Amino acid sequence: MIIVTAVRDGFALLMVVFAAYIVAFKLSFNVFYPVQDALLPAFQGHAMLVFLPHGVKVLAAWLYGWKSLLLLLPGAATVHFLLFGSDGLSFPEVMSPLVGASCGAAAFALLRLVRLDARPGAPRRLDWKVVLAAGATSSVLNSVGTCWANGVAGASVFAYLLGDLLGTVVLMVGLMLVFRWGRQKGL
Amino acid sequence: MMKTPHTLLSSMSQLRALLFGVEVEAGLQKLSAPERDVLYAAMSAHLSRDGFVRSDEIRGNALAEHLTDPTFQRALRSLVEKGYLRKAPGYKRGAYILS
Repeated sequence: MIIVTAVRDGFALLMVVFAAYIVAFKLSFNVFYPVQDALLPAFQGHAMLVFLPHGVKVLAAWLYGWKSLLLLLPGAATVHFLLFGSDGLSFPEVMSPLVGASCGAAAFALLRLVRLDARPGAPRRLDWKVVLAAGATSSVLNSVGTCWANGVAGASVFAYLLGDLLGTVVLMVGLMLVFRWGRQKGL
Repeated sequence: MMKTPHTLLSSMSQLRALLFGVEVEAGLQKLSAPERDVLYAAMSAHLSRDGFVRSDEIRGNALAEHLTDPTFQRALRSLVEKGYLRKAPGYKRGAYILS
């Protein structure tokens, strides 16, 4: 019975993280990206400057640690396939989803080395600035890793970096507003 | 009705607590430091299976440990008065629901 419950809970979690990742990607791609193209044509074709899935990665890593790698991988692989199709299946491009799914947990692990611990039970668990610092650190890891995997450089690295960071900030502020609205409505 | 898995409820509660910190520091919420600590502790304490958070769980949380008993009780009472916490039905004290 315990095993059945654990498997059911794990599967529900996987589905929620997958759905969150895909919805975040669709919002970035279908809402923010067209606005970016119209307002900042210099960045056209480089990267999305508000990449919300990065925020999903950071929050999932904050909540679930290294387990987030497994939870994020299906969403990251799906988005990679949606963006690059079968071209993305060759090496090293195929490594891109793995880099993306692991950068959040790796960033929190790196921050622990400088005594910024956000694990459950740690005094700074609920410090949003630590989470944002992890977002920035993971965006560096992700940008460098993704640009290596996808064979791009230069302005694209900067665009990936900015997109990841802005994506994390926009997602956190958006969720804050949703929770605030929910609380005011008594939900 | 399908029950929401406990892990998801706990994650949602932690996420709410984290982002509530953004609201407080952005000045959208006015709470004293002890009130904020007790509320964060309530949010991060594990919700019991019946959906309540118990005061001993809040008290035992790292975020509320440094408060003296009177300060802790005052902050808890104030959070109920301000509507952030509600007393759980059937309990006069000792169990709360996050509003």
